[in-house]
Amino acid sequence: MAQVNWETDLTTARERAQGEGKPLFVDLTGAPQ
Amino acid sequence: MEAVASLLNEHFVMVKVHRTTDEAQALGYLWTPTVIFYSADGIERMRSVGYLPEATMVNRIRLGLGAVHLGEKRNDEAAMWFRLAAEGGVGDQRAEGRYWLGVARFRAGGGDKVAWQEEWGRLREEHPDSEWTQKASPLWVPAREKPKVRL
Repeated sequence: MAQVNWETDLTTARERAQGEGKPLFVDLTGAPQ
Repeated sequence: MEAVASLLNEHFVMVKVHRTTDEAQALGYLWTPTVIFYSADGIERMRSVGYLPEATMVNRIRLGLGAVHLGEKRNDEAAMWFRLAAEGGVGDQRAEGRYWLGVARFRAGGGDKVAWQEEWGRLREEHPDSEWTQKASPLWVPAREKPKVRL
Protein backbone atom coordinates (compact mmCIF):
# COMPACT_ATOMS: atom_id res chain seq x y z
CA MET A 1 0.00 0.00 0.00
CA ALA A 2 1.53 3.30 -1.11
CA GLN A 3 1.79 5.98 1.55
CA VAL A 4 1.70 9.69 0.79
CA ASN A 5 4.88 11.37 1.98
CA TRP A 6 3.39 14.42 3.65
CA GLU A 7 5.34 17.46 4.73
CA THR A 8 3.92 19.09 7.85
CA ASP A 9 5.27 22.61 7.40
CA LEU A 10 3.99 24.81 4.58
CA THR A 11 7.12 26.93 4.28
CA THR A 12 9.35 23.88 4.06
CA ALA A 13 7.04 22.34 1.47
CA ARG A 14 7.05 25.51 -0.64
CA GLU A 15 10.83 25.66 -0.56
CA ARG A 16 11.09 22.00 -1.53
CA ALA A 17 8.63 22.44 -4.41
CA GLN A 18 10.53 25.43 -5.74
CA GLY A 19 13.91 23.72 -5.30
CA GLU A 20 12.80 20.50 -6.95
CA GLY A 21 10.75 22.24 -9.64
CA LYS A 22 7.66 20.26 -8.67
CA PRO A 23 4.10 21.43 -8.12
CA LEU A 24 2.80 21.69 -4.57
CA PHE A 25 -0.33 19.92 -3.32
CA VAL A 26 -1.85 21.36 -0.15
CA ASP A 27 -4.38 19.31 1.83
CA LEU A 28 -6.14 21.75 4.12
CA THR A 29 -7.81 19.56 6.70
CA GLY A 30 -9.96 19.74 9.77
CA ALA A 31 -9.26 16.16 10.79
CA PRO A 32 -7.74 15.61 14.23
CA GLN A 33 -3.96 15.79 14.11
CA MET B 1 -6.16 5.26 -1.78
CA GLU B 2 -3.37 3.55 -3.70
CA ALA B 3 -3.99 5.41 -6.95
CA VAL B 4 -4.19 8.78 -5.20
CA ALA B 5 -0.99 8.15 -3.27
CA SER B 6 0.88 7.05 -6.39
CA LEU B 7 -0.18 10.13 -8.37
CA LEU B 8 0.72 12.49 -5.56
CA ASN B 9 4.06 10.89 -4.77
CA GLU B 10 5.09 10.88 -8.42
CA HIS B 11 4.17 14.44 -9.31
CA PHE B 12 3.98 16.66 -6.23
CA VAL B 13 5.48 17.87 -3.02
CA MET B 14 2.61 17.37 -0.55
CA VAL B 15 1.80 19.15 2.68
CA LYS B 16 -1.00 18.88 5.22
CA VAL B 17 -2.18 22.13 6.82
CA HIS B 18 -4.64 22.03 9.73
CA ARG B 19 -7.55 24.48 9.71
CA THR B 20 -6.67 25.80 13.16
CA THR B 21 -3.28 27.14 12.07
CA ASP B 22 -2.32 30.65 10.97
CA GLU B 23 -1.16 29.11 7.69
CA ALA B 24 -4.70 27.88 7.00
CA GLN B 25 -6.12 31.34 7.60
CA ALA B 26 -3.56 32.83 5.22
CA LEU B 27 -4.66 30.37 2.52
CA GLY B 28 -8.18 31.80 2.71
CA TYR B 29 -10.07 28.57 3.05
CA LEU B 30 -13.87 28.43 3.26
CA TRP B 31 -14.37 24.86 4.44
CA THR B 32 -12.47 21.64 4.95
CA PRO B 33 -11.28 19.54 3.34
CA THR B 34 -9.84 21.83 0.70
CA VAL B 35 -7.09 20.81 -1.68
CA ILE B 36 -5.00 23.43 -3.51
CA PHE B 37 -2.70 22.90 -6.47
CA TYR B 38 0.25 25.25 -6.93
CA SER B 39 2.84 25.29 -9.67
CA ALA B 40 6.47 25.16 -8.58
CA ASP B 41 6.68 28.95 -8.82
CA GLY B 42 4.14 29.21 -5.99
CA ILE B 43 1.16 30.34 -8.05
CA GLU B 44 -2.20 28.77 -7.18
CA ARG B 45 -3.65 27.00 -10.23
CA MET B 46 -6.73 25.20 -8.88
CA ARG B 47 -8.55 24.43 -5.63
CA SER B 48 -11.33 22.04 -4.70
CA VAL B 49 -13.55 22.13 -1.62
CA GLY B 50 -15.20 19.07 -0.07
CA TYR B 51 -14.56 15.38 0.41
CA LEU B 52 -13.96 13.31 -2.72
CA PRO B 53 -13.96 9.50 -2.94
CA GLU B 54 -10.88 7.93 -4.51
CA ALA B 55 -11.95 7.69 -8.16
CA THR B 56 -13.13 11.29 -8.11
CA MET B 57 -9.98 12.42 -6.32
CA VAL B 58 -7.78 10.76 -8.93
CA ASN B 59 -9.44 12.81 -11.61
CA ARG B 60 -9.37 15.99 -9.54
CA ILE B 61 -5.60 15.48 -9.33
CA ARG B 62 -5.46 14.96 -13.11
CA LEU B 63 -7.34 18.24 -13.57
CA GLY B 64 -4.98 19.91 -11.12
CA LEU B 65 -1.95 18.62 -13.01
CA GLY B 66 -3.47 19.90 -16.21
CA ALA B 67 -3.95 23.31 -14.65
CA VAL B 68 -0.38 23.37 -13.34
CA HIS B 69 1.04 22.53 -16.77
CA LEU B 70 -1.29 24.95 -18.54
CA GLY B 71 -0.25 27.71 -16.16
CA GLU B 72 3.40 27.04 -16.95
CA LYS B 73 2.73 26.92 -20.72
CA ARG B 74 3.42 23.20 -21.08
CA ASN B 75 0.32 22.88 -23.19
CA ASP B 76 0.87 19.36 -24.57
CA GLU B 77 1.29 17.94 -21.06
CA ALA B 78 -1.75 19.91 -19.93
CA ALA B 79 -3.78 18.44 -22.78
CA MET B 80 -2.71 14.93 -21.80
CA TRP B 81 -3.97 15.36 -18.23
CA PHE B 82 -7.18 17.09 -19.25
CA ARG B 83 -7.89 14.32 -21.77
CA LEU B 84 -7.52 11.70 -19.05
CA ALA B 85 -10.05 13.59 -16.93
CA ALA B 86 -12.39 14.14 -19.87
CA GLU B 87 -12.42 10.45 -20.71
CA GLY B 88 -12.03 8.86 -17.28
CA GLY B 89 -13.51 11.40 -14.92
CA VAL B 90 -16.61 11.16 -12.80
CA GLY B 91 -19.72 13.24 -13.49
CA ASP B 92 -19.09 16.89 -14.26
CA GLN B 93 -15.33 16.34 -14.10
CA ARG B 94 -15.60 14.94 -17.61
CA ALA B 95 -17.12 18.19 -18.83
CA GLU B 96 -14.50 20.22 -16.97
CA GLY B 97 -11.75 18.12 -18.53
CA ARG B 98 -13.21 18.56 -22.01
CA TYR B 99 -13.50 22.33 -21.54
CA TRP B 100 -9.87 22.68 -20.52
CA LEU B 101 -8.71 20.19 -23.14
CA GLY B 102 -10.07 22.60 -25.74
CA VAL B 103 -8.09 25.44 -24.18
CA ALA B 104 -4.89 23.37 -23.95
CA ARG B 105 -5.15 22.18 -27.56
CA PHE B 106 -5.85 25.72 -28.72
CA ARG B 107 -2.70 26.95 -27.04
CA ALA B 108 -0.60 23.89 -27.96
CA GLY B 109 -1.37 24.55 -31.60
CA GLY B 110 -0.41 28.21 -31.39
CA GLY B 111 -4.04 29.31 -31.56
CA ASP B 112 -5.50 26.18 -33.16
CA LYS B 113 -9.16 27.12 -33.45
CA VAL B 114 -10.08 23.86 -35.17
CA ALA B 115 -8.82 21.74 -32.27
CA TRP B 116 -10.40 24.08 -29.76
CA GLN B 117 -13.80 24.05 -31.45
CA GLU B 118 -13.59 20.27 -31.90
CA GLU B 119 -13.27 19.77 -28.15
CA TRP B 120 -15.93 22.30 -27.26
CA GLY B 121 -18.21 20.76 -29.88
CA ARG B 122 -17.81 17.42 -28.10
CA LEU B 123 -18.43 19.19 -24.80
CA ARG B 124 -21.78 20.42 -26.13
CA GLU B 125 -22.72 17.01 -27.47
CA GLU B 126 -21.68 14.97 -24.45
CA HIS B 127 -22.60 17.36 -21.62
CA PRO B 128 -25.45 19.58 -22.82
CA ASP B 129 -26.60 20.47 -19.29
CA SER B 130 -23.20 21.16 -17.79
CA GLU B 131 -22.16 24.52 -16.42
CA TRP B 132 -18.93 24.02 -18.40
CA THR B 133 -20.94 23.86 -21.61
CA GLN B 134 -22.64 27.11 -20.66
CA LYS B 135 -19.24 28.67 -20.02
CA ALA B 136 -18.08 27.57 -23.46
CA SER B 137 -21.19 28.57 -25.36
CA PRO B 138 -20.44 32.25 -26.07
CA LEU B 139 -17.20 31.29 -27.80
CA TRP B 140 -18.37 28.14 -29.59
CA VAL B 141 -19.40 28.22 -33.22
CA PRO B 142 -20.17 25.47 -35.74
CA ALA B 143 -17.08 24.20 -37.56
CA ARG B 144 -17.91 25.95 -40.85
CA GLU B 145 -18.17 29.39 -39.29
CA LYS B 146 -15.38 31.58 -38.02
CA PRO B 147 -15.45 32.57 -34.34
CA LYS B 148 -16.74 36.10 -33.98
CA VAL B 149 -14.78 36.66 -30.83
CA ARG B 150 -11.22 37.77 -31.35
CA LEU B 151 -8.73 35.85 -29.22
